[in-house]
Amino acid sequence: MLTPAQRPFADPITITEPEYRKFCEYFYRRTGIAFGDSKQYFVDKRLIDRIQKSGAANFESYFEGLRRRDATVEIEHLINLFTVNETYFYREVDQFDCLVNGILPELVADRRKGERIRIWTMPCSTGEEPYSIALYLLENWRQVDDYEVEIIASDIDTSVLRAAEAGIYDIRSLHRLSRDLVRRYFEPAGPDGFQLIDAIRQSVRFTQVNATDVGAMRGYNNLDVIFCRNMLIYFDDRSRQQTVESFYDGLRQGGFICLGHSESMSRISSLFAVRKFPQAIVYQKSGGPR
Amino acid sequence: MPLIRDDRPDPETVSSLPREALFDQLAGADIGKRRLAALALSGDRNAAPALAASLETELEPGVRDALFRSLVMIGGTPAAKLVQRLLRSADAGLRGGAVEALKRLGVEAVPVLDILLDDPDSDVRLLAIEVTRAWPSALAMPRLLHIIEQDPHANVCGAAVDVATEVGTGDLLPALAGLRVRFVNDPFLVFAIGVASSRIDGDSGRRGA
Amino acid sequence: MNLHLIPSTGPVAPASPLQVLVIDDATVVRLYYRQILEAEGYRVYEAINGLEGLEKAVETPFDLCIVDINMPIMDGYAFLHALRREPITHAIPALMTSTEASAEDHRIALEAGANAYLIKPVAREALALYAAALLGGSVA
Repeated sequence: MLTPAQRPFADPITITEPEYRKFCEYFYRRTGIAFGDSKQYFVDKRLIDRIQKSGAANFESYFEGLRRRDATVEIEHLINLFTVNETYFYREVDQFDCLVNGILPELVADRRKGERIRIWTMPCSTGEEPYSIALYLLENWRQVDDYEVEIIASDIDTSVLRAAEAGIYDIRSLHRLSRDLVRRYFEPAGPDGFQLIDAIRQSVRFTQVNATDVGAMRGYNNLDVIFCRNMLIYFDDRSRQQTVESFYDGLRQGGFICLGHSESMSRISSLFAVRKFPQAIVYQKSGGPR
Repeated sequence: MPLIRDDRPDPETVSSLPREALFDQLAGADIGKRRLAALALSGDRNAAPALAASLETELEPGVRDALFRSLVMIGGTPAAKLVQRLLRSADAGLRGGAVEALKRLGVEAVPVLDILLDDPDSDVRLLAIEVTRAWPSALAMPRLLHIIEQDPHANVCGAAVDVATEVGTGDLLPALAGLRVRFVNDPFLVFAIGVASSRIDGDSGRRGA
Repeated sequence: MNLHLIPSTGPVAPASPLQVLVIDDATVVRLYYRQILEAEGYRVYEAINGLEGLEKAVETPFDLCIVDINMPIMDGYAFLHALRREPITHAIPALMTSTEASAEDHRIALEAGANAYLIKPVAREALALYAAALLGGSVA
């Protein structure tokens, strides 16, 4: 395939209205993300950019390439273009609210004081999510001292895990936190850095794992809550299903899983039941018909 | 080394059981063990008939999931032949699971699908055409053409038109025009053909420029 | 027409458009229903299978669901069962569509929680009429 530089007289790539609709329908079917009519300019611009970068001559050949099973890298580029993907403390905080006010009350209903509650976040990236959970629980869950809360955080990338263990963040990461929270839980670290206090850093256990490695995933079990936000959407069908099956096997009966706000089990698996709480929709591994 | 103490039956132990013992577990009362047994049989080609037979009576979603998964992992045309039987099930969930499994079986399922596309039961043909959505255009197109040109049933043609909306190329346009004539009195098909033609034409309209 | 309705006790004049959820895994079917229903003045939402439909139904107060049977991940029957079990959604009227034309299939649909049943391919007038009836009357 020729690069744009090698085809200096090629027609500029354009996208017709039917092509736009075809792309939207395919993307919706695959990811559950829908674009309104008003988004056409926004989508077309980014799509044209991707077509050029992929070396495809036009939309048609680009689209056929997308439909091939091994097109996961390209799908990942597209999803990155169309979703916002920053990480910071208290991102999608409604789910933490749901954890405290919806999920945990249910989980502890039949649990004795002192028993363990096991929460797993994966991928954890540079740690904002698992640390957010720790902070949020300490600040908002009245019963946090009544149970032994275990937070495990995993990622495939060891460099982000090292950064997470160090627990140093810049001011952008903290923009959702109140000054009071920052004052109490962070210490200055260098000119622009804030480091989480020891007590918080030690409350999370970081591990390296590849989500599609069935054997490795078996090491994670008796889980009560899994946070898996903004990872599955990038996987191809087989990897998504594989990972969700590992999650299913790792969760206790009645355990919960939370996905990213633009993700849905509807594109992945029928293993989980939908649970609607006032704060969020989550999924539950239920034991047989209710 | 596991991070956490595991209270469940140990998958390593289960998967080292002989096939007969796994079959027993597959028919047992414990849901967790049935699922593990189904997963443990996934490398075993000779287990395929037993896995397919279990699907006919299994109601638990977690176990059904594992049974389909193992059949897909076994793969091959024999597995596809076993799975396709479920397209006739009275259970809509099994029919849907069979469609998805046949999609995942890829090219090995093609011979099986080609037979299904001529099945006397229109609902079977309808489900079969949906499987072609997972195929590359070159593989799907002749099958879509076959249905669009001669299938007598409106819903089967409608399913083919829907797949064509995503997968179709310019070669389908004459057949779609012919379908529109055949079903001129069916407002749904007329509408659907219009959509499919516009999606296909959207590409080829520019090729001549 | 074979619907399970009791007559409404007075004129129904909603302030905002009635919201209809269309659940079918075929794109062209959803587009076709959308066109008909929007022409009737309804606001239309879509889902590609029963699970997506359920996720949307627990978030948005739909006035009507139109649901097909054969869909991946969660079929129409499973959707209806879940719809009727969930307190937030249990009273939403549901029109089931199907390629199956027997009286037995019709009976099974009603037992699963459908309020009415239409055979595909659905004619424009039939969809508009059934939608209006299910949206206008109180549902038994």
